[in-house]
Amino acid sequence: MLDLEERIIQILANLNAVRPEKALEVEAIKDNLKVENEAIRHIIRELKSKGYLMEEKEKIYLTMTGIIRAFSYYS
Amino acid sequence: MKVKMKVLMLTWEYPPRIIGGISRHVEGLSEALVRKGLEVHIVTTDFPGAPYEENIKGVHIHRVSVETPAPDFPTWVMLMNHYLTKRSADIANSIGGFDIIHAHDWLVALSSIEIKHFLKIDLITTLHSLEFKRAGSISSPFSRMVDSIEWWSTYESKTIIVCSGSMKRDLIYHFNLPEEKIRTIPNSIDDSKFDIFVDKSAVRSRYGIYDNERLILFIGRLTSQKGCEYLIKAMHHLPSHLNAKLVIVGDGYMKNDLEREVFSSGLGLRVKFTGFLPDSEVIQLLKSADVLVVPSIYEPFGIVALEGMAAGVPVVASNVDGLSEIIKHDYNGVHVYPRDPSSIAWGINRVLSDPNYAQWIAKNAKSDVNEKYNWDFVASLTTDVYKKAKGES
Repeated sequence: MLDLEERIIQILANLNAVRPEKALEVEAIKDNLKVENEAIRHIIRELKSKGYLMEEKEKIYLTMTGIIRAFSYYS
Repeated sequence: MKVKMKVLMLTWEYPPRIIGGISRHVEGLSEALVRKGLEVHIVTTDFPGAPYEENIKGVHIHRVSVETPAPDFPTWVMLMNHYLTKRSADIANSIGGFDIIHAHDWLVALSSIEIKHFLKIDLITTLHSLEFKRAGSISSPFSRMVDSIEWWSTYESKTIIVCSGSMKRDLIYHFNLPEEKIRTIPNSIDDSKFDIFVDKSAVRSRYGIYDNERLILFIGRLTSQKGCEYLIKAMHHLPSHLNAKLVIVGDGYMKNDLEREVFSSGLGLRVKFTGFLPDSEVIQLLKSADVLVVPSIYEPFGIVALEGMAAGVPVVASNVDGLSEIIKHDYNGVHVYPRDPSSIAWGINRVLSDPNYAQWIAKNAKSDVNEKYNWDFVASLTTDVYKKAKGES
């Protein structure tokens, strides 16, 4: 089982949230993963600080580093 | 007038999208094929900042976006293949078709098979690694699917290209393929990239390495296949007088676990994680390191070892698969046992404690790279495969 951080990255990659116009609401990710709001907010802050995510207007998408990280799982 | 052979090259990664080794391989090969007079069209997936159409060094690059959201990765792959097929068909219509399809790995196999049947042209596939070795088994449903697609691509392809003798043996053993269907063509690198001046002291200081300290370098994806956890454990076995620090370049799903291991075992001041770095920085680090360690558990070829050899840094590598073929123990590098921290530490110590030996193996390694590995040679061998498939030789 992947940890929550990896699951968020994978969901964003699969849903093609890889640029601002394809960004997803945090709410949608939360519903998808069925986890508490605070837990997901915490991980998103972490992912942003590590450079994997960008957040604009309450929506998130993967950065270039995030995309590479997501797909490296399968390479 | 001689008509150019038109090649459709399918790959899920192409620079600047660099996930693993396929990206640089396809780039080096394609540019060399163009130099040989072939017309090469890359159809690949997009990446932020990269245009959907461009021509670099004569290679036509076409990028597609997987616009349709997918619930999981296997579905994403199926959708990606659909977009690759559609774009390839558009290009085929506009340029009057292709002569050959060259697909890279299982990820684009479905598209390549579909195009082969539509256009009625020959398919060549390069398999860069195999799922049963990557995953250790094919027991999971995902691995079973990948393994099955890999087999299917071997069935549909006129020739399978692999990068090492060990990959060829794996294919014969695992898929029972006839030997004559497989062609071994080594990977390569552009060693001219390493012919630059580097201020080693300045580079090392950027990573917290002082003049009296030794720099051990790891470059690779942080996945179980690359064996980075054994290198971290090896740090405990190194004699303290070596004064060595480890710099880990790369990222991957194991990064958090590895960071936890480093800090919980008291190595926080001796191990630094850099994350992904641009090529130019990686080259500077390679040229500034005292030793490059490639502790992989499975490595069909091991292009990072070749890069280390080209950069003139002594290489310590696991004695596995393709790495066993590139590295000749005690001649152009040092072999160590995979999954064995004490063996890895022994190899590092062997290099760091004897500067003359380190210099000698690095010199032999650089000569080997210059003589045996270059893209123009790889392109010649690949063109032979294309011509043979088309019945021209």
